[in-house]
Amino acid sequence: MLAVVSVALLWLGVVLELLCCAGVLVMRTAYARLHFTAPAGLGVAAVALAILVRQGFSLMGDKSLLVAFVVLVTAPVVSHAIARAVWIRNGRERP
Amino acid sequence: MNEWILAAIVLLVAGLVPVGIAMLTGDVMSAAAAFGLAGPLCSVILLLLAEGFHRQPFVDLAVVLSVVSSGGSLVLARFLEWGA
Repeated sequence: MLAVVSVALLWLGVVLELLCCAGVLVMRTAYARLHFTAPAGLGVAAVALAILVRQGFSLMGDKSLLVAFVVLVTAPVVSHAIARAVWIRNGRERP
Repeated sequence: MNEWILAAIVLLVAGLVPVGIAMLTGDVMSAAAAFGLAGPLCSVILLLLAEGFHRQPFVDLAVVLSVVSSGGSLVLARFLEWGA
């Protein structure tokens, strides 16, 4: 049962990442592309959960959780920083 | 080949290649937006490869990359603000 859950979470994460990549490829402007960069953290979290379900709270599972936490925290920050840079480069005043 | 390595190959071919194409097309700011996705994507690929090859120390690469890539994206965004 745990193996089925692990594989389901793995492919859920892969599909989420592929959707983000397809969105970035299809969209043309930076603002439109940024809508697809922040949700990539959800795909990383799903893959990390898949590893955690398979391995348990071992060194591998803990480190995969750490990766998911770092990406989930920093991906929206990076998106915001890039959007701010686009805003300033377009001649608007600094927010 | 197990499902973890297969998932890593799928993400390398169908995920990282389109992001690379997106980085090479369009203006510099939309390329920076695509670069923001490349870091988490490479991290999850390294995570999958470590699990697929049953090599626990390889996970450290994913941990380091997830920290360094986000910092690099923040520095890049800061430089782009200045009009580089």
